[in-house]
Amino acid sequence: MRGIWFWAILVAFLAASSVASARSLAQVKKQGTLTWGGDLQGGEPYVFEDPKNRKHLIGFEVEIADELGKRLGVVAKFSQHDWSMLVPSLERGDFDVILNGLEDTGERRARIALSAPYFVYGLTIAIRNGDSYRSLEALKGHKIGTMNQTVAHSLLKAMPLEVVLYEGQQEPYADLVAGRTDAVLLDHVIAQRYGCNVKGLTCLADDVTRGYYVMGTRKSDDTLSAALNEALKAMQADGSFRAILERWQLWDKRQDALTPAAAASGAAAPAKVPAPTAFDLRIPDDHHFGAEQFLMFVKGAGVTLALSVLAFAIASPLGMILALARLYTGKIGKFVAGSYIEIFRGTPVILQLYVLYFGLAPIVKLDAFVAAVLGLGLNYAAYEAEVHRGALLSIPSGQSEAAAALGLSRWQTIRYVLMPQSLRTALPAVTNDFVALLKDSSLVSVITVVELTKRMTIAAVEVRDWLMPGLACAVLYFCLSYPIAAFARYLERRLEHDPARSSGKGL
Amino acid sequence: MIRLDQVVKAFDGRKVLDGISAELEQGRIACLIGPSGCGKTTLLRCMNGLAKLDEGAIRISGCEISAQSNRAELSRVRQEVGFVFQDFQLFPHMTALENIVLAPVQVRGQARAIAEKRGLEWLELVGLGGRGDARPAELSGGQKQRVAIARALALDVKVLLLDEPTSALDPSMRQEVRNVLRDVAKGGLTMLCVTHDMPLVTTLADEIWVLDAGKIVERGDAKTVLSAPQSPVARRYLSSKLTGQSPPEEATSLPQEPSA
Ligand SMILES: Nc1ncnc2c1ncn2[C@@H]1O[C@H](COP(=O)(O)OP(=O)(O)OP(=O)(O)O)[C@@H](O)[C@H]1O
Ligand SMILES: [Mg+2]
Repeated sequence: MRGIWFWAILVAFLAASSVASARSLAQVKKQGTLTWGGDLQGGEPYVFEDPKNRKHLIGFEVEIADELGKRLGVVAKFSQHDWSMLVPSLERGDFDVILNGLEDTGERRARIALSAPYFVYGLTIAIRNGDSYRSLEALKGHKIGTMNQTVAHSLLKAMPLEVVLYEGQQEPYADLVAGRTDAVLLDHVIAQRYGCNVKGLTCLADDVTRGYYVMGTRKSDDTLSAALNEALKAMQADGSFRAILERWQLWDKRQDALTPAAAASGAAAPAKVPAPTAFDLRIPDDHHFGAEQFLMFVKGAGVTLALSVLAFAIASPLGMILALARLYTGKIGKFVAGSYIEIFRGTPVILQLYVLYFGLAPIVKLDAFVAAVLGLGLNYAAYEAEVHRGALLSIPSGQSEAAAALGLSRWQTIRYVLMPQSLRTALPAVTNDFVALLKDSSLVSVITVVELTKRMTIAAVEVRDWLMPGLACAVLYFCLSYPIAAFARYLERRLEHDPARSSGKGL
Repeated sequence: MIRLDQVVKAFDGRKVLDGISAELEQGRIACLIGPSGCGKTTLLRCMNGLAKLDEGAIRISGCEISAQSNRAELSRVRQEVGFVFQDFQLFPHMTALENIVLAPVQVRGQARAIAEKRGLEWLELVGLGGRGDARPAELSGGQKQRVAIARALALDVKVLLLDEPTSALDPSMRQEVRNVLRDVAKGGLTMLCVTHDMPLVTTLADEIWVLDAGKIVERGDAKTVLSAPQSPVARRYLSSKLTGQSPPEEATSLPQEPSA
């Protein structure tokens, strides 16, 4: 049965992708739609949901796409994809063109066809008010925040400073305010909207460097890319392009580079700002997945293991306390424990991590690793509590009566009679949860902790290959979890044959 | 040593114990008999605070129990009164010796070394010398019950309450438990033993209490009650036992859930 499904899905997939990849200008015109890929998460001003009408998309790239469509005589249609997956998705044929703050880099140029530039961005440094850094040079040896898979990241990676990676635009600046980093380097569109206007932060006036946003198409779709380039050029020439950028308050001196006439007539461009370049971030040929990277993976596995062990060292005893409180204390204790369990089980752990790390930052500035351990530990405690509660309830009531008949207090009964028995019952489930935690720990990358999975995605982007890093990552997870799973099975078998347990059941 | 004064206990408004008064002098052994469901277990549980009484008073081993007794008072009673369960209730994760020394060490605060030395003596007394390291699961039913008896005695109690100590055992093992109880009784303990096991009654009893529907219907010297029961209940009950025909209540008196 499963085999049939596998083949059916594969065939359907191949059929779908071959249809899509055959699309070119002729195909687009025949279909009447130009499908463009982007990520709504990028937010304002690129492409995002209209706050007044969630079904409606707005943004300067929406307007560009609509205008391009109009000029090609088709309707522009948006297709949502993870930003980091735009290039592979384009190659897979999910849409016709990438139009979403895609930077012009040598690496991308080698892989897909890039259009003429439509926007000039400048990498902007944000610092805390009163700090004296005035250049990237001055920040050597310090902590700098940026977003994963950006040009800023590629630039910083090559410098002797500590890079802290974020998934969203706002978090790097929140951490800068909190003092966890010393500066943030991101492009000026993000900086102006999320950083420079934040109380306590200043943006340095000079761009570190400049670059272009371009559209991306498949190399095979040469007719489509030519048509798009032509349409873009016409828009830039007749001023309709500038109008769009002005509407979104994106028109500035940087854009002069795109309109030669304006640049020529304008005043002399400031000399110290480098002209926009296509970054050549192409990876040297010897830069493939090798021993050096694997060593980094092993380090990441170490972080994952440490994180999981420490988090579980919190979760397990706290879970036991919660279970005891829920079962054996008064009304208030039961209520507190019950609420804790329901709240932590009922909300995503990722949300809890955000609250701990970013939400609490104005009150307590937790180190990222500490916040990760705490977040996972507090979350798993709720699950452990239920495991322990079930195990305690499975003990026949005669056991506590026998203890009471001997004059043992409630606490002594729990400590010497109930807990030792329930721990045995719970052990297999607890080890199982530990394996689950090992894998859930990959979530902490959202608060900048670089563990095994994060290390894998970083490496995959770097070497432009998901297979080898993915396999290496899987092997390491397996090396961590298999011994624990095997230990759990061993315990289960042993407890089954443990005479002490079989008699406990019988009574 | 034991004095019951108008003890009433009701479940959901139904009086399971309906004004029980009786007394047992120090060093005497009474067997409590009666049809199934008449309230024997409930009376025993009231006597060490496992069940709360609704009216009346119990005086046992120098302690007073009433409807108003609080936890601390009940806890004191439990330290003075040993209790043996029908289904042993040994702690399965502990060895026989650990079962025995748990309360002396944790409740009485005895030094472990002393408690263990005495625990071994108790094991010797119940005929299990050398089995101190065995887990309950490695012991037969009769051996388990003997460990449970040693555990109940290890707090140096003066009063021992037993709820059908032989009924969960094969006939072959009953005799060993009867013998142990006979030996234990020589130490001058006051014992109240609920049982349907006639050989146990003849082995142990100084006197017999007959309970029916929550009331004591007959109470007297063991020989007298056995040879010439006065109440119809006792007569019927004993005749069914002695003629060997199994009375209907025997079937239901087999291991039952300990009720809270
Ligand atoms: N926790 C409880 N809740 C409600 N009713 C109970 C509870 N415990 C006992 N009873 C009832 O009280 C009555 C007396 O029960 P008890 O166990 O004392 O009888 P018994 O004389 O020990 O019987 P047996 O010889 O079968 O052990 C029974 O009718 C029983 O159903
Ligand atoms: Mg009973």
